[in-house]
Amino acid sequence: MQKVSTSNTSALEKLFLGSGEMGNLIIHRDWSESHLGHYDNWPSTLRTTLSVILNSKFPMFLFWGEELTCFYNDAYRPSLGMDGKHPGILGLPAKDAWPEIWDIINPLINQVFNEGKPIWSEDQLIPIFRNGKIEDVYWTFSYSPVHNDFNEINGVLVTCCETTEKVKTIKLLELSNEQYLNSILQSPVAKCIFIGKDHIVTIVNELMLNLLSRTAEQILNKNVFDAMPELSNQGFESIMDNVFDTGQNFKSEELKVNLMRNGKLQNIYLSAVLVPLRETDGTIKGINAIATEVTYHVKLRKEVEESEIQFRQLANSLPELVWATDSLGNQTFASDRWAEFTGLDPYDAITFEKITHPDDLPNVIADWTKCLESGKNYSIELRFKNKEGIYNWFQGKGEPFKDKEGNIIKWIGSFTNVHDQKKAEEFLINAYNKIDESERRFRKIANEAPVFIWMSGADKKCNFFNTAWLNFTGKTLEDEMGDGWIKGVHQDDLSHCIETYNNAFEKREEFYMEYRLNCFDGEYRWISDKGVPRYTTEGVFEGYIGACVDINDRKLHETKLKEEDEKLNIIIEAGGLGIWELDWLTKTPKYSLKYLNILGYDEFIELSHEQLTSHLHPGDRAITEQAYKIAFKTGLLHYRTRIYTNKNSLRWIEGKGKVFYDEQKNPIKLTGTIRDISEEINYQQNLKERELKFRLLADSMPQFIWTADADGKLNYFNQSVYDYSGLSSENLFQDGWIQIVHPEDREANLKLWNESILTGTDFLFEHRFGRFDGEFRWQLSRAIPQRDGNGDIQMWVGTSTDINDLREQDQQKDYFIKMASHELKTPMTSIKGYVQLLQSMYSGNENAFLTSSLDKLNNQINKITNLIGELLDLSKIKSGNLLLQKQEFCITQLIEEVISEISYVNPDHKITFSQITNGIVVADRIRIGQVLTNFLTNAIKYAPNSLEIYIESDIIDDHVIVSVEDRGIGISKADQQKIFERFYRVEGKNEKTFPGFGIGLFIASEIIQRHGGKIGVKSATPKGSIFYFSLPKTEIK
Amino acid sequence: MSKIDFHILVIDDNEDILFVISAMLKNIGYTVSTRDNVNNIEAAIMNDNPHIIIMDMHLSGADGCDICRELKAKEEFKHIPILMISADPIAKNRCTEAGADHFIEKPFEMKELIGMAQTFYDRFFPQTLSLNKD
Repeated sequence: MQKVSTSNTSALEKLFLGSGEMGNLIIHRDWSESHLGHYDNWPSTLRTTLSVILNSKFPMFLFWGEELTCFYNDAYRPSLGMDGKHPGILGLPAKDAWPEIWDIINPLINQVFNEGKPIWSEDQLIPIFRNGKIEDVYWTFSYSPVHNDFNEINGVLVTCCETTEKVKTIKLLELSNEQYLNSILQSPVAKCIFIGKDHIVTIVNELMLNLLSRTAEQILNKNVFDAMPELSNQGFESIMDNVFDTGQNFKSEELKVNLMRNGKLQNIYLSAVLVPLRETDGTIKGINAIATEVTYHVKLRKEVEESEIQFRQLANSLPELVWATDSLGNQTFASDRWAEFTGLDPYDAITFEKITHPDDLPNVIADWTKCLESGKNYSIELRFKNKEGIYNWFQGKGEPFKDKEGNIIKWIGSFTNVHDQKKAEEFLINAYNKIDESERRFRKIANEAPVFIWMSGADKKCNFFNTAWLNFTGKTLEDEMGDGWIKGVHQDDLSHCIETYNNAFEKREEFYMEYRLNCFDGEYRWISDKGVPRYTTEGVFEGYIGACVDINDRKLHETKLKEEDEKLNIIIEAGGLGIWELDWLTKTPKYSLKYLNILGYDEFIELSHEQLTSHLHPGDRAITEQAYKIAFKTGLLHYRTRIYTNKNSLRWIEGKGKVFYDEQKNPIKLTGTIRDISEEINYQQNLKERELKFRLLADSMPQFIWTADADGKLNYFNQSVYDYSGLSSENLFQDGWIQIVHPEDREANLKLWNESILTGTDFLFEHRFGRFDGEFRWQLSRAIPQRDGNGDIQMWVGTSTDINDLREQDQQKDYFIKMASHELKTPMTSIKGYVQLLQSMYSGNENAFLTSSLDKLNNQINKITNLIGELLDLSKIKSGNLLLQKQEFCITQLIEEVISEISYVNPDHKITFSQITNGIVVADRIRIGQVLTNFLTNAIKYAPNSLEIYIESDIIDDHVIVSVEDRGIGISKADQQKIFERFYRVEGKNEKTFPGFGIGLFIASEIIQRHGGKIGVKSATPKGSIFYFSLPKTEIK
Repeated sequence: MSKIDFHILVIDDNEDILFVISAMLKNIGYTVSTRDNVNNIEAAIMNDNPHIIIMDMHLSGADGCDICRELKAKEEFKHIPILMISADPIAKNRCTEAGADHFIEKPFEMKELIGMAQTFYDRFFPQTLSLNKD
């Protein structure tokens, strides 16, 4: 090896030393064992190259020589890291320096070494110290041959070019690509990436797969049109090519795609965007497709459009003026007819006003507004003006259209030209009105008619029943229409009724029938039904019209008449009346069997008029002739004649009859009865005889005898009356008899007489009759009614007996008794008074005889007093002069008074009064008091061992009943009958103990009876007795 | 007031009855004046000023009822209760009509008469205790 000059060496050293660390290292490395040797011996190429390397700020590496000795610069050094390569590998053969990658780099180096072609390695990360820190820097290494002067390759230079930016960019790009990819895959829209101009499907997300109805295997990494052949020739190729080529985005909101889905080819619509996918350098590498299926919406819209179109087509094809508005009523559509008819633009808002008749416009607007508000269907009639200016009638209708929620979205309607119809309608209405009118009139008349009117059509079905019919049957028109009326016909008459109707109908004849129809009250009534066929003015048969009349009464009457007739016959037969009829013109007689019986024939036999009249008693013929004469005049026949019967017995008959005349008032017929009155006649004659006898008898009696009719009119007096009074029958008859009565007695007389007439009770009265000489004498008049078999009064028969002398005597006696008793009473009073005075003076005196004597005296005086009292009463009763002074009083009060009086005198006795019911009576209070006193004194007298007396008053059957009960000895049944009789005294053990005349009860009885009451006793020996009397109660006024 | 203050006027034309009645009443303790006729009766009444009058209906020469009626018609006397004595029950109505305040039928028990007087006495002098009826 040539030795290099020192100047060269120091230059090299200077070169290397000044260039940094590596330069330093090179200088100071021991190169002795290395192939290269000392650096002074290094070839110039090497030195040059090294100087370049060492001074470069770019990392460089050199493989030199066959051994590929490694050199590198400071800039390269950081990339060796800290794991020992630095500085170790400086000067090492590459193989030793880079064992780990020798396999990789060796071929590369050899390639360069041997072929001399540079190669490079891109984007290697070599961190270098930079900017005060170690930074990640990316390099692209290049391997380039180093030539010597002889163009031999001596080494391989490795230079690095920073690609950090690029790498980073790429990395970012890759990252974003990754993110991008993820976003695609996870996107909520269908996404798909096509790469390359062949549009290879590189990325596709789930949604897109669903949309395309393919699986990933089917389309991934395939040409889209290969994978989905149905997509070809739909224009998509050119679209995609365009995007790929021009980089322009493609957007379609409704891309129609014909797609195979589920084995079927379907049209779908996509809203799609195709965006070019660019490389980092901006070249288009593919297409990013995003799509959403809008098939449904598109279809829907298309349908709506379709239907819109259809609608419009339809609307325009119709003759009507069709319109549509939105929900607010703004016009959205008007068919072609509008313009045709009106000559104006229908979409113009004021057109409507222009064309609508001013009279109709307000209503139209009002109605339309209402409909818009309410959503109700629109219906109107109005007039529109056509292009000629003539108004036509239109019928308008509109309906709202609603969405699913029920909200109105639009209105659609039409107007129909009804002008001609309207005219026709008016005409028809008029015509109908006219018909209606006459129909109504008919119905009115029919309904007011009292007869039942019905009508039937040509089909036999009834179509009208007037009000009278409906009222009668109580049914409604609906019930009766058609055949409904048949239900009301009585089932017995039904077949006849229907038969008659049908027959007549067939023959189109009038018919008449009678049947029973059900009345509103459920009863059936006979009606007559007359039906008549009716025809139109053209002579077409229209059905029947009929009238019915209620003939029930007549029918019943007929039946009744028949019945009556029969009854009459029976009665007549029973009444023994013989019936006859005589045709006056032919003198032909007709007669019943009874008639013949009366004439003495037992069996029916034909007889002529002459034969019949031959039965008449010759002496009476004149009577019958006369009777007939009168009959022809008056129309009534009546006679009584004798006949000789067929059996030759003489009988009396009474004939009665009626004459019948013709129009000229000539007698043509007589009908009548005859009756055998022989018994009556005889009876009457007997009566006459008896009467005569009576009269003879009556006249011979001195007493006055008289009779009156049932009305109280005097009609007979015997002779004595006339002799006494000197009056005549004319004076006295009827009501004149009152003249005979003394004026003072007349009023009472008339009153009592009228009472008797009215009530039918016997008449009994004392009054004075005036004698012919003016004297008045007392009479006792009695009259009793004579009754017939039915109990009806026929007449009164009365007598009047002169009691004048008797009365005078009586009066005298009365006066005497009155005076006597009065006179007796006075001395009695003084005697009694003295005795009582003495009693009071000497009460408690020791002289027992004195006191007892006085007592006895007192008792005896009392007895005498009582006897006097009874005597007085007796006399009054006997003379019939017991006058009652009646007044209204309360029984209870009287009872209480009497009780207190009796108790006063008989303090030891306990008298209990229980008033069950209080009564008011009209009676002689004093007398009734006497009765009660009598009862009580009897009770005390006849029950000396019992000190209890019970009095009760009650009301039973409108009678006040007072009873006095004692616990005495009682009265035997035998005595009970008689005790009320005069002078009857009950036989007692000791007669002395029962003092008295025995007239007390008799008097009591008379008093009560005079009051119209009852008196009685209930007794059971030896329990006691109950004496009671009853008086008629008065109404409390 | 004691009984002595109770003045009874008795009018009867029978002297026995008159005596007996007045004796009985005096026995009780009342003051009794008597008249056997009705002459100047009004003066007598004015003079005696009786609380009650006991009068027989049948007086000689006069009708007790008429007298009663007359007295009752007069202001001065109508307040004096009149007790009529009569022989027959029928007369009772007449007495009542005449205005008699009470009626007693003869022959009467003395007790009755006394009882009536008592009643009138009690009416006039209500504070006094009831008497023993002797």
